[in-house]
Amino acid sequence: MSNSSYAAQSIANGPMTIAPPSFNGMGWLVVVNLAVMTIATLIGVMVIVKLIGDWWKHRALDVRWSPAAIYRLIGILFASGITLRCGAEAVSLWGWNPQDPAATAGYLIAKRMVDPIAVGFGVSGLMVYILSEPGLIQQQRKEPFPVDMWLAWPMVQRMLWLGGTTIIAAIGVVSTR
Amino acid sequence: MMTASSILKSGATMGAILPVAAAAIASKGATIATSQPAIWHFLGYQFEAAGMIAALFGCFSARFWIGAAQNVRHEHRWSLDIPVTGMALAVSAALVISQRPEPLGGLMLGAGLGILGEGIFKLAEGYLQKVSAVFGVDTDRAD
Repeated sequence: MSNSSYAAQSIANGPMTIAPPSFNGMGWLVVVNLAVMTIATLIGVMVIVKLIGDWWKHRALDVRWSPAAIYRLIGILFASGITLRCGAEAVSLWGWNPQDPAATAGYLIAKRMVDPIAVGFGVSGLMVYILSEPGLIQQQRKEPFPVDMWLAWPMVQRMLWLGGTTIIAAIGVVSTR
Repeated sequence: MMTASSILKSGATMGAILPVAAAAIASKGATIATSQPAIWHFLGYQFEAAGMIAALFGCFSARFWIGAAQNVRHEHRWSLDIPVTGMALAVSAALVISQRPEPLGGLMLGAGLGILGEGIFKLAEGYLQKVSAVFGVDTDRAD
């Protein structure tokens, strides 16, 4: 096998660890990272799908630059940033395999390429937030103040269930690999 | 293992699971030369445990989160949803046994089959509605 790229060479000539060498042999750290990155990707995709579905369903009501549309846009931007960043990391963690340096190097290079895009989503989310804040705060200072936080509880419950199964799967994969 | 057992007694689930996993890994070593991938046996077939766990997790989570909130799913939970999920899980287990993929390959395989399972569910659900319409059975209206 020809390892043409520098990334592939560094993996092929590295210490051939079963997880990326930056974990320094600490299995529990691999479990935590694998679980967290996978959970974040799953939850991020879930939120993107929900928000874009809502946006499409209510597109007649929530016109452009209405508070609801801006609130949703901020959510979509943050969720996209988290999904891209953690998804690329999850692929490179799940796919780490020193016996196949070319593929592993491909995941690592892809992660470097996806990261700036993910940061772009995150930072534009922050900018939209700051930009819309004065107007939105004014809109939100209307009675009644308390918001019912538990309307979407079933969805959060599903996220928690996914998180639980992901932790179990991460422990299983890392300890049997 | 002393620390692991004392944390277990404290009752923090997260804190209990992690040292156990860490102990499981520490006994095997961190490099390919020193680690022994666990091989499981099922009906005489053998396969890597990591790929199997990844595939079953991918399949289950794909089946779980796509449309888990839909009313249709709750209505047909026992007649359709759980059989289709079981089928998708069985097919991904069979493919893992025959292909023996790495964890990432197993994850993709399982997730893909789970998403296919959603298509099968939709087909079966449409078929059920058609049948009940033809035979005049009292249709439990979806959505």
